[in-house]
Amino acid sequence: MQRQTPLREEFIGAMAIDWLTDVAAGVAARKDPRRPLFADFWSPG
Amino acid sequence: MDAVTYPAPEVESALAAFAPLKLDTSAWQPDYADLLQRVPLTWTPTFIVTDHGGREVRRWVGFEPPGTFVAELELARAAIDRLHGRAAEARARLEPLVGGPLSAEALYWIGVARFNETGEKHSLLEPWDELMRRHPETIWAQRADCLDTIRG
Repeated sequence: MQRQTPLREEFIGAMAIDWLTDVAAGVAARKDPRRPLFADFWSPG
Repeated sequence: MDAVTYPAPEVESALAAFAPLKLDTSAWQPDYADLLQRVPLTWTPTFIVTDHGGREVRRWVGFEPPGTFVAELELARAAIDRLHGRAAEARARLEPLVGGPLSAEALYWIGVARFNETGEKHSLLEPWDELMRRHPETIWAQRADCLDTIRG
């Protein structure tokens, strides 16, 4: 799990890091901190 | 989504512009109540796009096939463009969506982007006239149904 991100803590830090099951592009986000965020809130089954 | 939409090449290409995250809402965590307070979810999947500063610009619910999903992402990027004062870029992003699965909404926002560019209400008329003509039964046509007021 990626625990470093340039995205704002109020979104990623408080909301997502502890609940993240997949970080599809954590690396990409660090490469381009201006990149918008797409989030898929899903449930299995 | 995993079986149909995400594997599609056009979706992969469109998502390359984003930092995409996938969050399992069934995985209970101690602060999960806080998550739901911040991001109220009534159904899954729920998709949310924010700008790089975490400001939500678009949200939608439910499975969509690749073409519609890509159009959603483009509408989201256009919203980010407008939010950041790039109305011309937003309009250029929206225009290819006309005639596609989210054509009516694209025409609505093209009108808004034109208004953002010019500051003139009459800038809304051409795209919204086209919206009324092409997609008269949609909610977007209802939302644009104030053209007579704009014409004065």
